[in-house]
Amino acid sequence: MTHRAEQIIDAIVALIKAQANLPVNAGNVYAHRTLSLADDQGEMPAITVNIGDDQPSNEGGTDNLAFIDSLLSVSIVGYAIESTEEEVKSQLMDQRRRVHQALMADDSLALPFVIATRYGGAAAPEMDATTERIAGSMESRWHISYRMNFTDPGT
Amino acid sequence: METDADRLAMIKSLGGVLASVRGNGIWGIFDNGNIDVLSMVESAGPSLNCRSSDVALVFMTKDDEMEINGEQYRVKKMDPDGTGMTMVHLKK
Repeated sequence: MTHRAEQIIDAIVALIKAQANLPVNAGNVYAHRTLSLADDQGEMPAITVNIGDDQPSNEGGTDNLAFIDSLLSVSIVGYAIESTEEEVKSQLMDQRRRVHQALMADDSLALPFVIATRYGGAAAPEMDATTERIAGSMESRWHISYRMNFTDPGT
Repeated sequence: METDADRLAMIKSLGGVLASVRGNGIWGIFDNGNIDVLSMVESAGPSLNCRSSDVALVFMTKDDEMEINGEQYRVKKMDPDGTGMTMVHLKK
């Protein structure tokens, strides 16, 4: 059993992959992707789900002797590459919309230990026009409140 | 100190090509390799590394057409490195 934060990441990846009308191949939705995404190998467009800060709800780090409630931040980054800037931004906004739909359809993410999922905002798109086509990325942030066992965060 | 003539000799010795822009030929090192952008995306990025003096001589500007090895490109961006060479980023 993995850490519950990791279970949350895996669940998010699965929800995004299953989202209807996702403008990204399911195989191009990644967790913790660190290797570059190769345009000429069919890895684009893509979405990466990245684990962020994890802060206990209680400053002391405990809620009671049985469990700890914590707030996990997740960064979801969409990547697109097209011929024009307009096409890239349109693709990125569509990705962002489908990610939002995937996560908010059930704010427990279908996990019994998730208390709530909240939208945490999004960054302005970043663009790069130094390659043959124009590449862009856009991050959306999510905050997931969850509960873990006091002695074993995997349960 | 490296002179412009030295830079031309270096370009030719490294397999440089003769590119045509605005009816003029300029020597440069052509690279059609993949590059990473946005710290994550690897994509094809053709470029020509040439002398800054040649860029100025032909009044090269963005969107200029360039022919290299029979292929047509457009100038996307020019990045002088401050040492006499300019990296000209291209697109097809």
